[in-house]
Amino acid sequence: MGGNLGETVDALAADFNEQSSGVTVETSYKGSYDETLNAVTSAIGAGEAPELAQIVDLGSRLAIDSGAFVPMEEALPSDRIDWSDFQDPVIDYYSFDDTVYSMPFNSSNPIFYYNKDMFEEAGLNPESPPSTLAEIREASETIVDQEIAEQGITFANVSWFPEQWFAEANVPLVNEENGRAGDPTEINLNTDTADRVFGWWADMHADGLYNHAGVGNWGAAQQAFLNGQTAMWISSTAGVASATAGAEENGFELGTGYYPTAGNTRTGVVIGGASLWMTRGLSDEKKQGLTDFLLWLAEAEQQAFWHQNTGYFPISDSAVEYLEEDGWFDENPNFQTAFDQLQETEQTVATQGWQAGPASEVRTIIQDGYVSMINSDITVESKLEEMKTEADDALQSYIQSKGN
Amino acid sequence: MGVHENTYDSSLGAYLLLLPTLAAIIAFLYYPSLQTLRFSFFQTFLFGQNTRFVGLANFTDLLGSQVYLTSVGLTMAFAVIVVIGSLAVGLLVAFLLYEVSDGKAAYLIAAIWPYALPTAVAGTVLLFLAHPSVGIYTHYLEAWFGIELDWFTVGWQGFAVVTVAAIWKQVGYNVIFMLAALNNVPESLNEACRLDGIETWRRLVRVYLPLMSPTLVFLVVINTIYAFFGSFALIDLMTQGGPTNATNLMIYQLYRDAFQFNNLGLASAQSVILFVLVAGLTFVQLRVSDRYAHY
Repeated sequence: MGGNLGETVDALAADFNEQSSGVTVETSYKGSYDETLNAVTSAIGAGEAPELAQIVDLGSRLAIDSGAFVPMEEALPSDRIDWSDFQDPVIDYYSFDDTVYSMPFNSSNPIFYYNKDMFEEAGLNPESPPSTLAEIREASETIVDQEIAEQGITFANVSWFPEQWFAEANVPLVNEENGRAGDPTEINLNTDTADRVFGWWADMHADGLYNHAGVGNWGAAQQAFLNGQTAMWISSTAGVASATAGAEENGFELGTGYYPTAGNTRTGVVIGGASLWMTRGLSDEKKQGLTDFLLWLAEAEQQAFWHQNTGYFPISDSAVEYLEEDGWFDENPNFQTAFDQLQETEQTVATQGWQAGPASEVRTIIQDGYVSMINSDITVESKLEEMKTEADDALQSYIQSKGN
Repeated sequence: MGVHENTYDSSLGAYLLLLPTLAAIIAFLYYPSLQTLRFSFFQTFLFGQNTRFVGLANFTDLLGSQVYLTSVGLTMAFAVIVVIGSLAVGLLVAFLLYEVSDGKAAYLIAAIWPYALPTAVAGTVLLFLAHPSVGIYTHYLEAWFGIELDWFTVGWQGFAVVTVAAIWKQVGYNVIFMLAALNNVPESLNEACRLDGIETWRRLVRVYLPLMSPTLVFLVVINTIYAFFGSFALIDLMTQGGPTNATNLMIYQLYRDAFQFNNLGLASAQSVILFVLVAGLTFVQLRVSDRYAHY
């Protein structure tokens, strides 16, 4: 991880090295989630896998299929770790066939941010943010009509957001129980939820209410919101710390709300982020060292440090208690929003989050598909059909290439 | 003469001297090329775990894929525009530099500066300067001329921005070679032109260009290779092949399939196609130009 997040990772590693005797952890930055996954998969191919790899949420299926990693639940001695202390949504996400495969590390949710000053100026209630896509549209219209901001809302064009709208509506994104029961073969882009989500998103752009920050462009979206081009923004809870600082710098009051839903159903959100995977076939000594490190990392104190410095969730109940005793959530209501949203999430197949080997390819199809909806005459319905065909092909050819 | 022949009387000695170079070429060039060729006939999982021989299936898949064929067409258009554009601009700048007498060094440095910039740096800087919502260029384009650019969304704009960036990046290289060629023009010719009162542009087209032709042939080949391969970093940093594949050049599609989608077999097949295409083009260029270039 880079920037402020990377520095926090290094600080954690340094702290560990200081207090442990004989075990030293070295960190290595490999770029974005995708780049790290590439680096790890190619290192596996060359027989030089790192002992511990941080792999993006949706890379889990690929990591399992690579056969290079040992399930975390098997690797860590059961008498030294209490899995029930972990947050359910987090541990569920990284479990396959009821086995925890990797140690959750940085976990976040999407969250809704808004500029309270602009809401006030537009005559909207700054204490009651929009909670559905339709309400966002109404608020955007009010704000743009009065020329308070150029557009109502911005967010990066990342597949993660539409995926969350599926989860909120309790609709799995792919078949095979959202890819949790086996390799999925079909994507559910032929559903009412898909029509509603992509229809809303495309119309918002056509009517000048949405600022398209570009594919994968988290930074540009944040900048557009912070410098007042839009009144609303959707991003990860991992940005709470930097958004709070940015709003202060730009002199406006930041508000946060639950992730908006496509309809009236609010099932909950899916965990995003990354987890730590342990390589198979390590020497006992190395395994021992890694176990010490992972257990230390999961302790309440380290989790609290990680959370306070980044906005990623504390992953254990004991860490949450630690933070509550400290009065952290009372002083930082924006972190509270993120946390409540996680705890209110119902555990269903949809909110557990989808998994598929070729997830990165499917995400590209979804993101590029949205761009064609807004830059060509193609209708949302026929583009969704095309995207489904492409994504289904990718899903099926992955199964074929895996062989066995 | 006899002395030289005696120096290498055994061919064994010559081979020994060539060995380090040959070893490096074999290890880093021929072996990977052969491996690529081999992989192009396989379906692969991750980086070569579980391979399965599929014959020509990767190639037939590619030739039947609309996305790939569009990418081929796009790459051709991109290459033609970039080669012509960077040669034309390069020639203009080189000629002006040749003609100017004051401050020549300063102009020269300004002209070749972009070439000295690493492509990755250039791409990142341009991305922010021309960013649709937070860029300085786009801000003034909108403020002064009322032109709203949204090249993250509109396909042709994305293509135009990347093309301009690629030309801008390559002009400096062309200027260096063209200026060197111009400086080789015999002074007697310049004098003859002056005496005959030949106007400036006519002098460039009728006198200098034919004399520069060997350099131009070389530059056409190098610029073609640049357009096919060298533009990768700009694409990766600025558009990632988008919007909707409008800048998805063959080299970028290849990268995506190999490193993002873990499809090494398919990417190897694309690599083979790209190699054949560029080798073929270079061959044609050299053959055609033999007729026009005066050495």
